[in-house]
Amino acid sequence: MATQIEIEDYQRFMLRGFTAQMLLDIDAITNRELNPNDLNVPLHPLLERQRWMEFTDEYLQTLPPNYIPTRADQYSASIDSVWDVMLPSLRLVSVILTNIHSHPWVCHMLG
Amino acid sequence: MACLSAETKLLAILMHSLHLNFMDAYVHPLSGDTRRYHQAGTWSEGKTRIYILLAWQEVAPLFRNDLTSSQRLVQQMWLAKVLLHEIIHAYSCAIDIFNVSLPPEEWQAGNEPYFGDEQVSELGCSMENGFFGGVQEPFIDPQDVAGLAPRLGIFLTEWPNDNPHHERPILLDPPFSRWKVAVPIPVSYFEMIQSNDFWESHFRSFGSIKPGPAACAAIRDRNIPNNPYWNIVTNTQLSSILQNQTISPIAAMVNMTPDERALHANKLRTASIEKFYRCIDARNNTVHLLVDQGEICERHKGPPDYHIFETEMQRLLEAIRLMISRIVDCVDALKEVESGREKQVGRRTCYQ
Repeated sequence: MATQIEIEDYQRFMLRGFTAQMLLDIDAITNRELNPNDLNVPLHPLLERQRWMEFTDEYLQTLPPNYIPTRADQYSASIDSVWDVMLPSLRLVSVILTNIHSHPWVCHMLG
Repeated sequence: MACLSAETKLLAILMHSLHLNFMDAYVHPLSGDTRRYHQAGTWSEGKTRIYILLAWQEVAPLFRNDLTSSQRLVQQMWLAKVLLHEIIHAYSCAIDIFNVSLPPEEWQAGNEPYFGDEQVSELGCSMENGFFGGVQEPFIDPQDVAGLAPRLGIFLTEWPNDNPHHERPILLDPPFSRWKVAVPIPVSYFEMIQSNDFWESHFRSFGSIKPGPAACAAIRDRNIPNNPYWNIVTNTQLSSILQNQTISPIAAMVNMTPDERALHANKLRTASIEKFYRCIDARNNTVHLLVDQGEICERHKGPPDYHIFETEMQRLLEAIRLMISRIVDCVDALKEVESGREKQVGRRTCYQ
C-alpha cells in the first residue's frame, strides 16, 4: 500500500508539482456543488444539428479507401443522448463565437 | 469595420462547406496512424468541403453519471474549447479558399490538415491565448490514463510553447520564454462562463473571458534539459520571475499578502510534516535491514565460519549505526514539526 508521501509524489509528478490538496486549497478542484450550465442561447449556425454527418453509405464513399471503422461510427448527432450531452458545450461555443467577433485577436487574424 | 465584412464572407464560405463528424482519437482518419491521441482535426478538400472531426473520446466522459458538478463543468468547458479550436482552423481553411484566385481546374487542395495540437495549429493556440490568456491543458491527459477519465481541471499555460507533440519545424528566433508556466483555473471560472447571467449582464461590462489572476502557479525552467520538476510559486513571485527579476527570499516574504503568508506557512508546515514521514519511512526500511543482518549473523555463528561471522558482525554494527542515525533524523524532524505547530497555535507547550 502506498504511503501518503508516495501518493503525493505521484500527484506532483502528474499535476505539474501540485498535490490534490494544494489544488483543493486554491479551488481548482472542489467538492462543493456548483451551478450547472444554464446557457439558453441559440446554437451558432455552424454547429446546428443538421450539419453533423451520419455514417450513411453515401458518406462512407467520400472517405479515403484506407478508412478504418472505429467506435466513432456509433456516435452521431442524430442520437438524442449524444446530442444532449454535447449541447451545453455547443451553447458555450455559440455564445463565445457570437460575442467575441469584435475581439482584437479576431480582427488581427482576419487582417 | 473591415474585419466584420471579412468575417461575414468567411462565415458564408463555412456555412456552405463545413461538415462535422466524429472520429476515434487513436486512429488518424487520413493516415491511419495509431500512435498518438488526437482530440480533433480539421481539413479542407477542394473548395467545397471543410471537415471538423471530433474524437468520440472527448464526448464520452460526459456520459458518466458519477461526475460531480464541477467535473462536469470542466469537461463541458474542455469540449467547448476543443470545438472552438477547430472552428478557428476551419476559419483558416476558409481564408485559404477565399484567397485563391486560380481557376478551379488548377486549384490544389488546401493546406495540410491541422491535426490535434501540432505546431502549425498555433493559430488555434494563438486564439486560446488571445481569448483565455493562455493555452488550456487538462489536469488529466487522456494519453496517460486508461478508460474515459474526465479532465478534472484545466491549467492555463504559456504561449508560444514548444511542447513535444508539435511535429512541424519550429522557428528558433525569437527564442521561447525561459519559463513554462501552468496556472490552475479555479472552478468558479467554469461555473461563471457557463452561466446565462454572466453573458447577459457581466460580459457586456467587462468584455473579457479570461480567468482572473491565480493564487499560485507551477513553473519549470525550459533551459534545463529533461527537467521534470515544477516549482510552485505565488502570483507575486510569478510576476517578478516572468519579468526576469531575481527576488531575495526575504523581500519575497516581506511583500506577501496575508493570504500568501498563510499559503506559505501551510507550505512550510506541510514540507516539515512530509520530511518527518520520510524519516519514519527510512527508519522502517532500516528495521528490515537490521533483522536480515541479524539472521545472517546467527547463521554464521558456529564453526568453521569465524571470518565470515566477523564480517557479518561488522555489517550488523553498521546497520545499527544507520538505524540510530535514522532515529535521530526522525526526532529532529519531529522537533521541527512541533516548533511549527507552536507558532501556529501560539501557546506554550511542555516540549523542549
